[in-house]
Amino acid sequence: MKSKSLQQEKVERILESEKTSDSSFIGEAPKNNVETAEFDEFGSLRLLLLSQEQSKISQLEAKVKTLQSQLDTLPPATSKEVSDVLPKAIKHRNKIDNQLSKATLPIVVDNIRQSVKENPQILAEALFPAIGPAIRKAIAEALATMVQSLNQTIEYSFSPRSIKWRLEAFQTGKSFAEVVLIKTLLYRVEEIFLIHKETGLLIQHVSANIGKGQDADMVSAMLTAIQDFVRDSFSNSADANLDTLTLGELSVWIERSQDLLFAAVIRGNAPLSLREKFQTSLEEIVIDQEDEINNFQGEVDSFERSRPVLQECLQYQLGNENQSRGKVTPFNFGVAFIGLLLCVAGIFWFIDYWRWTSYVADLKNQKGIVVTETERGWFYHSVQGLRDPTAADPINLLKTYSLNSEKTFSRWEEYQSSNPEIILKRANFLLNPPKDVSLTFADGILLINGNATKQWVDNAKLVAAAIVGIKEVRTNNVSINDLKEKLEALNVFFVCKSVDYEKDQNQTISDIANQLTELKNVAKTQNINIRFESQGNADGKGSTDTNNKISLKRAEKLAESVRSISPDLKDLEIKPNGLGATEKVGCSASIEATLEQ
Amino acid sequence: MINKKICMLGASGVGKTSLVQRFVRSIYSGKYHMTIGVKIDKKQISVAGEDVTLMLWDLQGEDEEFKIRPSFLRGASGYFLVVDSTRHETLVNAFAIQKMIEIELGTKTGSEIPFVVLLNKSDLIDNIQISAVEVQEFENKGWQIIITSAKTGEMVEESFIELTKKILKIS
Repeated sequence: MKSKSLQQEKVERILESEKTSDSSFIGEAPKNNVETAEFDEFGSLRLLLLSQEQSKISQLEAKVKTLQSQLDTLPPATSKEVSDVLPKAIKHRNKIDNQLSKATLPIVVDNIRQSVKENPQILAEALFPAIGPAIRKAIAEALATMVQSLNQTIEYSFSPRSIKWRLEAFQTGKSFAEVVLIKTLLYRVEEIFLIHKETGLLIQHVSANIGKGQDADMVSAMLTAIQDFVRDSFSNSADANLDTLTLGELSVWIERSQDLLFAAVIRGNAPLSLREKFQTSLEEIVIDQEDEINNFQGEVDSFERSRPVLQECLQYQLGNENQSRGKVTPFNFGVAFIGLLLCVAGIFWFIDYWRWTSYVADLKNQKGIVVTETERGWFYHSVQGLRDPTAADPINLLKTYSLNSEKTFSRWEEYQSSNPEIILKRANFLLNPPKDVSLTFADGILLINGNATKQWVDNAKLVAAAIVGIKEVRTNNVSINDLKEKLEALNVFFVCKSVDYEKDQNQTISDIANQLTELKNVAKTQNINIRFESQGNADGKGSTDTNNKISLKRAEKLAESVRSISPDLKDLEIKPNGLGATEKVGCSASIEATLEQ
Repeated sequence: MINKKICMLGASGVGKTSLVQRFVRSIYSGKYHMTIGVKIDKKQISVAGEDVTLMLWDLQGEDEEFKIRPSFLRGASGYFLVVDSTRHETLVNAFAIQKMIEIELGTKTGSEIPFVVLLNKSDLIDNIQISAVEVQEFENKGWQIIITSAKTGEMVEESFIELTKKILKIS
């Protein structure tokens, strides 16, 4: 029992020694000579117990040595070999986690910083193709927004509609902008939630930034809860889904894939085609981020790249005011029809009113017409007053203004107008002056101008005295007798005993020619035949025969001289007549006229 | 950023909502408001350098007439079984709920969903009905038990951090 315990103790010691130093136990003999014999015994025991393991260890050691020697002989891995596996290795690691990105981030940042420091141009050139269009797009969008905003500002600032909206904003306590938006929006997708179906966790959220929304995480969780609640409460089918929630002007449209929910909060009435857009976007995200969705454990950062797809769905459409108001109902149609009728009637009324007032104004301006009363009705008009028979005809005047004479009652009392124009008109009507005679009237005096026969003038004076308003008749008529007298008073003087004119007789000869022409013309207009005779005179100092001869010659010379002055007189018959000695006028000649009425 | 769904489960009136209010808003109200359906809250915490957003689904408490809707539990990363220390029957109820979850969700996911048992209302020392032996029995089953008080805030934040660690498998 004691030896056994001793042996046991020894074994334990061996094992203890083995723990503390493997190498000494397996590979090398103990160096202490004192205990050599004891160790031999242990060696036997060791061989007995661990011979198999020892041989295995030896084999493994040999193998390791071989491999080590092979490894030493191998050339180091070339850059080519590394480059072959590097992309694959990076890709593989990226799939596992983002440690590689984290590790390389400082290096990349340093590299960029160093690159910019050394030559900023390189980075600028590299970024230009991307930044250039982006800046242009941003500017264009900003301008377009500004123009649209300006247009809307002008429209909404000055229209009656804007006043109504401002009033509404004041009453409801909303901002004017909010009221404008609500009134003009046909629909607007205000928010989109991309939700993991099973967990109800929000994967991505975009908003049109209208007002302050609720916490998106909580909204998406609640949406999921509501869906579950509705399904559990009202449907036995697990496939039944809540597609739409509606609250007043707001509605939530829900689209779904196997793992995701796409919830869009819409204000207004969106077209159903928008659902297709949502579904397409959802499918796009599902395809693009299949791995992330399948392995979703609550990490949402990786879904950031789906954000642009969702933002594209934040669509809106401004309402056309006319469209939104223009529902054709029988009432609207009736109102519009009556309005149109009233409009047309109004136009006709205005045209008629304008014509009638113009007509009456014209009548009032007419000489010889006194308008005493007018009346204008929808269907008939009437006018009455005083009218001089010589005044303008009111019925004819109606046509000038396109007024219907059949629908106009006219009543005119005749009267004698004292208007000078009417008096003159009346005189012209009653006297009927010949072609070359004209009448003028002023201050009660009727003046007869022109060449009229004495008979007509005498008759005219008689009639005119009876015309109301004419106090006196004067004539400006040229008397043929006067002309005759004037002609016959002109004498041309000759040198005695000669047929030569005395000095300065040319003027008298010229006067005789003019007088003769006038007399001839007047006689012609008055239809009077006239004969001219050139009469020569002598002084009586010589014999009668001589005096007769010389007086005839003087008559002939005067006739000739007169004819030669004017072409009109060239062929005028002037009979020469020698009167012989006449004491009264002496050596002279003159032209006498004989009228044959 | 990691988001996780956590459910608050337990019998009616055990203090689920109060625990959430204490954790999220650091407030406590003695008035009892029954939760109908579900209330959702959110809290962001940092555990072992990892930012985690906890979506807290505070479900309506179970009683004789109302049973928890399994659909609300779907997708939960972890849950609390809240027990009212002053009512022994709520412990029994917690057992039942755990069993139900095991059946409903555990078998589907193929793995056990982490949970922590909260013995709430620890401030009511004189009325405690759950013995140390019973607590020991739980611990022997491998369940983690934390004694909390929504009123005093005792171990409330620690409980949420503890569950989050379990979810993230951080020891």
